[in-house]
Amino acid sequence: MTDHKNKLAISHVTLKNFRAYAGQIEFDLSLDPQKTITIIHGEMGLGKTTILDSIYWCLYGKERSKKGDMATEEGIVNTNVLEDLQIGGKNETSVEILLHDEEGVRYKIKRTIQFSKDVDSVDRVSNKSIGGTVPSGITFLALIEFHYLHPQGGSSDWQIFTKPDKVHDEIEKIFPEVLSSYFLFDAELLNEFFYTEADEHVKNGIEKISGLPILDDARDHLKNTARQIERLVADKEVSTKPLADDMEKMESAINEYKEQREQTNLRLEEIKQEKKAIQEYLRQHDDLEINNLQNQMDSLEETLVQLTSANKQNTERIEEFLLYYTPRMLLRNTLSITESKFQEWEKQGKIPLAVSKIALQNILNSNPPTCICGTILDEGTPNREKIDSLMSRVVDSSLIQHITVGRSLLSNVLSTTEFVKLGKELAEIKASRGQFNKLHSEKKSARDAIQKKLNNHDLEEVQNKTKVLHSLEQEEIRLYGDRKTFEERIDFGENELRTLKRKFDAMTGKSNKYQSEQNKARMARALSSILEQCRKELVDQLRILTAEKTTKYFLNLVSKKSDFSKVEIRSNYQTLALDNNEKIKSLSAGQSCCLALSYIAAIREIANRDYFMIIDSPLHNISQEERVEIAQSLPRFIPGTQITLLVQDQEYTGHAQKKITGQEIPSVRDTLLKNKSVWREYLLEASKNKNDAVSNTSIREVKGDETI
Amino acid sequence: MAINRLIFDKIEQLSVPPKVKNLLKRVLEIEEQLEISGTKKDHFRNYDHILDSFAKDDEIITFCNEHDRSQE
Repeated sequence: MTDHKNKLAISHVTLKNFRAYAGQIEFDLSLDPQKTITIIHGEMGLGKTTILDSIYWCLYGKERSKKGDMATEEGIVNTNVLEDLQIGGKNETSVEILLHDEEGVRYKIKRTIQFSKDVDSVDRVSNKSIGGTVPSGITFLALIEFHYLHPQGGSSDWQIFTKPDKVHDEIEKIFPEVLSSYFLFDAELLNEFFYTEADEHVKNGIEKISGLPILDDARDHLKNTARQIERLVADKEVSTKPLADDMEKMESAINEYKEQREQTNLRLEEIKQEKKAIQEYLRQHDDLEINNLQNQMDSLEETLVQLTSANKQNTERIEEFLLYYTPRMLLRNTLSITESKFQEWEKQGKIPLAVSKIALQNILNSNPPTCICGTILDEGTPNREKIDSLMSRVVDSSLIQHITVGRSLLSNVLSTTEFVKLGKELAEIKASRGQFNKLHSEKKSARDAIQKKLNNHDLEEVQNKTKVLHSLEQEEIRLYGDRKTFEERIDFGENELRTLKRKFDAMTGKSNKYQSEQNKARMARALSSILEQCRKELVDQLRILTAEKTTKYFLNLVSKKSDFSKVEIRSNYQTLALDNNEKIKSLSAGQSCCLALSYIAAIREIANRDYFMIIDSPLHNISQEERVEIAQSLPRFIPGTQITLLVQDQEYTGHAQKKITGQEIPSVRDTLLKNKSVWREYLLEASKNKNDAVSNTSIREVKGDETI
Repeated sequence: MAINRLIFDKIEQLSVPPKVKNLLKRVLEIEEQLEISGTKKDHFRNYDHILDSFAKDDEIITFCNEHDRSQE
């Protein structure tokens, strides 16, 4: 008989003809307590997940199902090897793992499918033991070897078991299948934990890891045993048979009502949490306040429209000024200046007299030139010089007219009164415009401030949530009523059952020949009842313990740990991370991954099994930045535990840049190599056939300084 | 699945006679054996057998009778 060990790691794996791997591949995994991480990476589709599946198959003799699906179309035997088998030919598919505990090598498990071809056939048949469909004409033989090296034994003192049932028992003691998803798992499971069916996973995890199913089974079997004993007595005593039947029916009905009551309680708890969340939301988004803000907003919008309209009128008036009045005012100013000049020149005698130039010309043209006073105007005479001088200063009458018109134009352009009036109006418009700008700016700022507040609220969402809250309250009332009904029926049923039991006991107790059976039945019921009580207390205890341990791992793994205070697992198994104010904190994809990993580590610790951990594509669906953060924290996540990561190239060697700063984000590989936590890297490589299709996958070790 | 030590610890904390605690542990061990061997259908035979062993123990019988009555 083997002993259950708390710490186990896989040291060596050998695969032969298993799925994508034609021929044999083998690799080592880390036993180094400091450098605990082994990496196996490759492009998608080369067989990383197959490695996980092969170890599962080696342990349990069946394919790892995902979400309860049936085994895949492709069986475990490499298709090419199977197809290439000749008549009379033999080959095999096998997986062997070597396991160490703290003291050294402890177990070797090898599972084999031998196959041989007897006849050639194109028909294909389904084969459940190896999965998929295979050519008929090939026979298969399943073999298993379980080698155990006792700690006190010598190096060659191996116990070997080959009987399937015995091997199954031994493996189940060491690696219970119910725990397998806590040491062999993939990103899909991590996603399921916290995106879809988290509550169910956590419930199953806590209850199964604790062995509660055994307790439940023992409780139920004891109850059944009591019933069966009473049945046997009743069968012997015909008179008690109807009573025994009634008791059985009553118990069945009571159990059913208890189950319904349990479901109702769970739903009531869910409703309570949902209501709390909605009420918190509504408290922060009061609809009265939103309506008030909206009204203020509408009022401000209206004011702004009015201001803009009034300003438009001002603008039109200004345009009128610019296009019509201002030129006239400018012209008036110009002519006013011109008039002043004319008046000055008049005083100075510079303005020409209103004497007709033609009249003077006629005088000078007369023969001899004679003035109207009769004076002869010969050349060179003083009078002639005066007339010549006058000639240069006399303007045409037409020009005089123009000057006269011009001087009267001044008074026609703008009257003084009108000029003063326009001046005042222009000043008013300027003042009004200044006021508009100031008021408009104030109102706009006020409106923007309110808009900002409104952006934090969503009235439609508030109304929706209010409806949901009302609906939940209605459901809650109905469920309270249902629960009361169930409780009344349970009470009634239990009273009836006690009455029936008393009658039964009275009838059977009349003769002591059934005393022993009565004692046994009573014992069985008492023990069943005690186990039920145990269970209730344990479940709460375990839930709280799991939450405490999950918190411990989570705060060690997540990067922004100062944002979190703890992890809580509620009575409905809902698992939440809380901030420093104990409010629920929504998590990024990376943080959810950390929470799932932490929960898994917590369960492993409670189950007292520090076994190897093989994780397929753990960083698949998260950002590069978060991948690097997790890679940095991974070495201290569960120190000393062997961790093997099966990662895609893009996930492992991909780089990225930060969106805002453009700063380079290193790869996960660079990060892990930098903190010296990787023991070894392996690369999966594909060989291709002449059609450029992948024909086989091989594995090789990556040298430390190799660039990939 | 091996019985978690938490279950046994819980049984130890119960306010019941030591013989009853041992009986409870024995029942759980039987259940574990049945689960591992996959023969749960034999539970009645196995349980009946173990109850037979203790059916004449006065302390256990008295405790169980009192417990049964207290549940009524």
